[in-house]
Amino acid sequence: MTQRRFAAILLAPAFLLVAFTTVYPMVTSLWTSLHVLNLAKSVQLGAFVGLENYQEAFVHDLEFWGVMRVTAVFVVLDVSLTILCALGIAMLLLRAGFGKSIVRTLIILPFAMSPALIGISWRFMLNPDYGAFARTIAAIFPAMRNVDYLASPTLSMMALVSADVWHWAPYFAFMLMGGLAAIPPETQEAARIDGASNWRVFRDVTLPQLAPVLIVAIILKSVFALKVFDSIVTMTAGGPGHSTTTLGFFAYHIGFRNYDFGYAAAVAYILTGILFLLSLSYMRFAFRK
Amino acid sequence: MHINRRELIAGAAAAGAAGFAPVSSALAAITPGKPFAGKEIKVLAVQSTQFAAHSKKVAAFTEATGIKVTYVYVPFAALRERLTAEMVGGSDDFDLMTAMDVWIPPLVDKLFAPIDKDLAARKIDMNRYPAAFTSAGKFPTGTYGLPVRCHIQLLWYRKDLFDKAGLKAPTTWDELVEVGKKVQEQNPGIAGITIPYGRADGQNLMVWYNFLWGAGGDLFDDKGQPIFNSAAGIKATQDFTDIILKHKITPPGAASFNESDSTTNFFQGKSAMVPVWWHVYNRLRLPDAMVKADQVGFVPLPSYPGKGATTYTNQWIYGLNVKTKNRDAVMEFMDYICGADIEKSILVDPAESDVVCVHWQNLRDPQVNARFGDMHAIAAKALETTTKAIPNTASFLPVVDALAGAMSNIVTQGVPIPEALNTAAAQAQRIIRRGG
Repeated sequence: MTQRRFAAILLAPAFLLVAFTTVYPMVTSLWTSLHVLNLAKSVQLGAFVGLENYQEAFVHDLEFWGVMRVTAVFVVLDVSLTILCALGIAMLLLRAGFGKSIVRTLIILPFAMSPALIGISWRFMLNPDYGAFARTIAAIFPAMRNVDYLASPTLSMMALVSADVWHWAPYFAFMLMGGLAAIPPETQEAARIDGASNWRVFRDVTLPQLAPVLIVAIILKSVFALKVFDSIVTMTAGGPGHSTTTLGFFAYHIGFRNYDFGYAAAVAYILTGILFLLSLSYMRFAFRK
Repeated sequence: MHINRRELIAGAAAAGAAGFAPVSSALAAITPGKPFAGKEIKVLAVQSTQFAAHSKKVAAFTEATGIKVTYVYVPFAALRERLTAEMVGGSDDFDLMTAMDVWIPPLVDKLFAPIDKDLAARKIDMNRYPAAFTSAGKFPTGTYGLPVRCHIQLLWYRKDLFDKAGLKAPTTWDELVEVGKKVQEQNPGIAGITIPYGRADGQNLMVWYNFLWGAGGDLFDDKGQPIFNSAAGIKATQDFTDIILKHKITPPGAASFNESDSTTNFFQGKSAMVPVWWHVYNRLRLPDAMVKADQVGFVPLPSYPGKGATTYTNQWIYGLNVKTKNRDAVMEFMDYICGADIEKSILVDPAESDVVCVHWQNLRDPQVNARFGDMHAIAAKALETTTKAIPNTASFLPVVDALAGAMSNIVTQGVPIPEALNTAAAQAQRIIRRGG
């Protein structure tokens, strides 16, 4: 047996597994998105309709573009705030100090929590009547008493973003700490000897060297933000109105609540297209030579 | 579950006088000679005290018929997906299944079989149920189940606060606003009424339906096209949203409340009224209840002047699997478990806590009413004048989403009512077009 054939045999189970769990469902759902499949009518795949389901989204559905806008706002806010917070945490934790390992352990705890549970907890904490956040904010700013955070499109989006940042920032902080630790300290010391301020050292020396890790983190977080689902279900249910309905949640609703699986598959494929482009960028950055 | 002495005595008397008799009379309906002995039936039921009580009635049934019955329970949140999976898979795993009203239309003929012939053969008269409890299982192609778990909405109010202020329970929506304002003024920290205005699962429509039907409006016309944006629909929506936006007699947070938040607010003593399902009765009887049973009264939901109370009902049926191989045995069991006598034996049993009652005779039964403070008689009154129910179309659930979003936009973003309802109607037309 040649080495090449032996390698193929060893790789075959992995290929089969990926083909069965990823390729097959993706091809099937693409095929579904080109057909009528409404379980309210029939459990069988209906007529071939070409790109009609995609046209339904882009042209006829009154909610679709609103959902796209909400998704874009959420991703931009969520990714930028998560990465900024993570960078801040990473810079602070990188410095040696008493109790560093305890702080590092504690700070990862939010990431260990389930997003669905986080949504429920934040929903409770934001209740204007008895919620811990709402009461604390009202104690500091009395004018904020009785503000219903989840009834305002702006505040509910901020709450959703805050919960997600709280959940993900520790993970990315650890990722960026790895990147920061890999930067040769001599480059920063040299800049300081040349009279550069801390800000200049960070901006002109640290940040450019951290950029590859940072870009990977941004792409990765964008993928995670686009997929957000659990916390929306448990915290805002996509409301008020449709102000926190993102693409993933929208696709779920069309498919599993409305049974319009043909259309849901098309919406899911639009999301998949965006995710594919981001993943492609991630792969290019992560594995570039 | 806390049971007081009075209830225990009443329950014991009921059990002695009638409690065992109903079960034995239910067995009287069973086909003589055990023709289905040896058959096995599997039942898929939502997790609830009622279906747990049903499973306790199985032993007597098995003894009388030789049919073995097994209950499998699924939490409410997972049941719809389970039914969908059963339908798509064409499975005969379960012979009998429970399903909620809005879930039923897509399941008709694909998962549930019509049972009209069986009903006729067994002389089951559907008039034993209020009309508002039978609509969920009725389709142009037949009857697809027997009502088993139905809820009606009542207006729960703080009798102690009303008595103190010399107020009577409201019978119209205007009176509701008036008394709500008075109670709120007199009791700082207590809102006049709590209503779920949050859009989760369309729960912000549950009270609105009563406004809509009371105002003479409806959701769809005879051709199945949306008419909730009619003049009556706009008036109903105006009155419904005025409660929170104009009269401001709801608690802080009501704009994002779901049903559970709203009910909890009332039972925490933070609001004076709540329109909600009758099953919350048991919360008053909890030993650590913050609001006790003697502080609370209940009446049919208000309506518009001159109109009878209309109550939005939540209906569950027992449906027969179209693929079952044990049809006769399943009907034998359904006939037995859905009987009025079985229902009464659960309602008067001090060891049971479920309030659900779907038969006219039990709704008006003195023993049942003695146990639940006349709640069922009051419910019966509301059911007598209730002629509307949610439509039986597969497109309705997606339309609920569009409507719930519109209602939330009105309440939270000040979107003008006609604009919001017209947008929802346009979305509904699109959904109906796609639904076929």
